Amino acid sequence: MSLLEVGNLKKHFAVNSGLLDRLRKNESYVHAVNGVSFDIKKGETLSLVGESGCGKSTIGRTILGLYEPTAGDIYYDGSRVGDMSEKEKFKLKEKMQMIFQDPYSSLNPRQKVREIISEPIRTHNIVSREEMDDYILKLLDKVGVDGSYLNRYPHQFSGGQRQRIGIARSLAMEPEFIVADEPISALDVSIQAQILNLMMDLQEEFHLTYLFIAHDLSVVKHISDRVAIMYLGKVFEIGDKKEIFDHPVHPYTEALFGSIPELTEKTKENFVSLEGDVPDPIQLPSGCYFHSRCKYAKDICREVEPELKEVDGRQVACHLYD
Amino acid sequence: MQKEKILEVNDLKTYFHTREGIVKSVNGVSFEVNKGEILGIVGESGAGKSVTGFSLLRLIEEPGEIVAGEVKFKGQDLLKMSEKEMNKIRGNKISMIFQDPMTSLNPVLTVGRQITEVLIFHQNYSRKDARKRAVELLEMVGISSPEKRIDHYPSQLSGGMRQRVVIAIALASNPELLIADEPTTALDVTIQAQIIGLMKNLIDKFNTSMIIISHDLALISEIADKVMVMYAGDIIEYGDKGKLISEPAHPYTQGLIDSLPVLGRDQRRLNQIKGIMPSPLNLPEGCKFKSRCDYADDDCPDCTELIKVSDGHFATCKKAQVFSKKLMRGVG
Repeated sequence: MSLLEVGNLKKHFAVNSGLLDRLRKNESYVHAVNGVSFDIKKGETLSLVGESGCGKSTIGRTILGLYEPTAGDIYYDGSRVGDMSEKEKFKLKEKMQMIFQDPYSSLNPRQKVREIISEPIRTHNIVSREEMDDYILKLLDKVGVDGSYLNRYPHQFSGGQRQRIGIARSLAMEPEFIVADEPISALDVSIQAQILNLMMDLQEEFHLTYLFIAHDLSVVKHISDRVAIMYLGKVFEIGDKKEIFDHPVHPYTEALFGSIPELTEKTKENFVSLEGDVPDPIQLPSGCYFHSRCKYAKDICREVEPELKEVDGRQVACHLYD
Repeated sequence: MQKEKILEVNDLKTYFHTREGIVKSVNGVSFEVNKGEILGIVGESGAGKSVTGFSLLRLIEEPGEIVAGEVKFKGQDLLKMSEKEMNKIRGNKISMIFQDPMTSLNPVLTVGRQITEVLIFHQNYSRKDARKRAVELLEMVGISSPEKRIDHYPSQLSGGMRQRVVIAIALASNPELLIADEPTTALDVTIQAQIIGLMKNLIDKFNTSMIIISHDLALISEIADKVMVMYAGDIIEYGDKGKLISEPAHPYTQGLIDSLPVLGRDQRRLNQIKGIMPSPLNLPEGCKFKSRCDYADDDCPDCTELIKVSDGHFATCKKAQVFSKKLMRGVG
């Protein structure tokens, strides 16, 4: 049973949308997400992977209701989020939480740890005032932060500790579903492993479902059950982690995997696996969005947009497999 | 054959005098770079790797101060030079590439203006020749239609292209040493691969030496000849890349390698180094890694001197030989 289902989701951001531009029919849009569909099963971790500008964070934020989708549907536990009343949406926000990238800007510097964590608890009336401190201490214990730090400010903590506090805040809602947007990319390597391990422990203990957003593939491989590779607001390849990592099928996935630095004793000979830059998301290319950089591109790739279809036990959008 | 030594650093110390006390960011480091060689400096934030790089060019500002040491560039001590002599070295004999191309390029000057500036100042080019040379340089770093791009402003270029421009500026004066401080951290992986590949090619072509600073040990292992691992202001391991990666001697280096998730390996939990780096204001006596080290015991001596592990491979931990092992992790 899927907990979350996304169907043909689109999100475009207007640029040049002033009155004059509209009168002159001069409006243009950043096409951040261009028709994305996937589902996430209960207890599963799906990772969205791609380079900056591929729309992965926009999807996460749209699912959480931080952006209105331009088109498409989001179903949570079988019900369409767009049809929900404000009251139902408010209830839904308890079940869906977010872990942010930057633990330096996602915690209010003027609030103490106690206030940071208790604010959402009070808003959503999770526990009574008397039980509050006990509840917060229990949460801090779960994420490995010393309970005696309750009255400290964020700047008194290290990056890793701050990220733990952010995680405690999202756990306070007893959520089912967590969007983790690059939760470890601002941290040092030795601390990254600590936070990843913590997230996996919490998932087991509380049966959490994760949508994990990242650009670091080795981390993604580590934490996910399934992976979606994105490019310019489209899913190019989606499927079981093991299938995709053992044997990437889409040319972009292949190039992306080839670009990741790997620990080696010998100096690498050939670094470049992909020439050029990502196209402009305002003027989307015709056909397959990847054709300008793809070494296998054929005529059809320039004209017809490929659909996702089953190849080798996963879904791939590429004309090579027609 | 003895290789030509380009840079020799002896016991360099850079301290920051803050209100809370003295921060010993670089606490007595010594290393050398030979001609055509790439030295990689690895460490976590706060390890002192960038401050080391900046100290070499004397780019340390108040409240920081280079308190001791020697930086010998082709036999001359840069720390003893006058500011005027230093200006002939900076951006000419030794160039620097910074992390963020958006902040290291001037947003209100065209790309061409920023490249020709170097050529006119350091190499006595005429304005016309400088422009011609700038087009060549842009072409060399892989920018398409350089005649057009030369009149563009940095904001009109993508992140990868901006970093290519920065490289063109750094190489404009044919430097003998290039210091690259996290040159690809702000870029995506496919662009990172392009930029690292470009830098490696150009370094090989001109037989330039390079110091590349990064937090990414995997990236360093792909490009460097020698690696230097820093921790809390000290070099804790230093030596030939192959040896250091295959037989890391210091428990911190071992932990760093072990905590990297590896694409080719299945594992449920990552090995983690417990704890965090000690506060630079309050460094412990002796070995600074002791509180996080699995092997630490009461016999741990003061681990501040590098000792030889094997030929061309040094580490500060006296237990080094005992732990030195081929890690079971399919390093290629």
